[in-house]
Amino acid sequence: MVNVKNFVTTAIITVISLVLFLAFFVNKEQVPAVQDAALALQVFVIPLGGFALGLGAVSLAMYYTKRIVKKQQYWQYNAAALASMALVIVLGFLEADPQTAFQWYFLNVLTTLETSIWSILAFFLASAAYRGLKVRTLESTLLMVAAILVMLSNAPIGPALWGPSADIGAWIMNVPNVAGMRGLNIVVAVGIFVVALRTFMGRERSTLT
Amino acid sequence: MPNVKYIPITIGGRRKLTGFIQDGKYAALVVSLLIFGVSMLFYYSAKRGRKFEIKKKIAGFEAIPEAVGRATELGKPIHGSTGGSTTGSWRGPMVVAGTTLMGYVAELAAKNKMPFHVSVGYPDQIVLLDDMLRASYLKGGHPELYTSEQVHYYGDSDSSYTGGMVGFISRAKIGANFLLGGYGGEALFVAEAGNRLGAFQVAGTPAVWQLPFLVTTCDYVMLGDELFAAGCMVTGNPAETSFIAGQDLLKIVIIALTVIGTLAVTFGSNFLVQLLNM
Repeated sequence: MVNVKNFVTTAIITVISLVLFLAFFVNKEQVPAVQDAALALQVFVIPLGGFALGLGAVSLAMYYTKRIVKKQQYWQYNAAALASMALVIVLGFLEADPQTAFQWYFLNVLTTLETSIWSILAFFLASAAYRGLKVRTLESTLLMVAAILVMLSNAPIGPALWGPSADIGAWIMNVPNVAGMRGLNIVVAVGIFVVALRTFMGRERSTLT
Repeated sequence: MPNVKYIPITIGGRRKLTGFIQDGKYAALVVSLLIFGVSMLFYYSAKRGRKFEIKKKIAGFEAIPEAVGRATELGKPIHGSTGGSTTGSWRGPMVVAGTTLMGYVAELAAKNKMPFHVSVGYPDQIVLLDDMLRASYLKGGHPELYTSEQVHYYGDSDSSYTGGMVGFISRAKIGANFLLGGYGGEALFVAEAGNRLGAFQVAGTPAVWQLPFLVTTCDYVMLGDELFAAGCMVTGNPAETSFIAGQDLLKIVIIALTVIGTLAVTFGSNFLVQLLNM
């Protein structure tokens, strides 16, 4: 027996995918209908997204309020998030020039917090590099030698200490590195196409549970 | 019906192409149709009963039950994420493959009566993963153990997603971590947070720039297209695994083209370059 829900979902996915796939290849002058349909589908995302945004804000506010009222675990974070959301909305309505308020909030709150998060990466990179560069096998030895050469080529002190390090580092990055990356990227592209095909066919579980 | 007109295009003074396809995209269309044709051929052969033996073992995929088992022994929760990418981006297929594998992990977690939490960065994934986890807990025999609150949404900003996920991993003191999907800069943060807790980590992403970070911090990593292959292997259905056989044949074609192209360019001919630019 045909599962109606799955059939309808697969049919929608297949038709939309086919239109967008064809729009990538066909000439607009020859078959304007395909390009127009593809454009209409992409434009349709904007009102859909706007509606979802409003719905999401209301849903989020209700969910957080419930958690705060019931004093559930980490309710303080929910309160902070809710207050932050409310503040931005209020600033947007009250300010004569909303750009100023938003800009201040963006530069002094959001950017500062984001920069703090990303600054931790320096320490994580160092510990990951330490683990990765431990000499245990022939492969890890080669990896460490290559890494030292590339580091030397990028650091100003490298070429000053040993002239050829800049050329060797550039060669490692531009020849063996690019060769390996291209091979992997081509194979990944085939994989991406096959997953897309499986989704069009309704064979991908994740879209049709 | 659209008013379709076919205007002939001349190449070298001779009428050859109709102009139906944009210039420079003929080769891409042919390659796409080749991948489509080969995949369909293998799929329908498998449906008709032909067996495709997949000899290769994906260590990362085979380690998934071990990771769930380790977390169960420790009595610690399991965490997973499909990366900070949306299904609408170019990393969409990676997210889709990762979501399928999250379903597999959830099923194993349900069988072991363990909580499985998933962190998402985009709203579209909330619905996909909520549905997937609910169905998988049902399949695992314990639908009562799943609630929608096991899918954690941290916002689509890279920093909020990363910070939220690292915070959850640290607070929950997870026993196993699954990083399967399309990853960007958040990969090292999440993998390092799990590594510091001593969690059993299985990762997999075709996003090649993130692979070095995952290799240095995780116990098992599915490299490149192995994630897609694992997504097909989950079902164990021969018709699904036939796609892997199709991909392998296409890889042979690509390797052959690469060798021919390299030799041709080395000996002064760029016919393959011209052909692929058509």
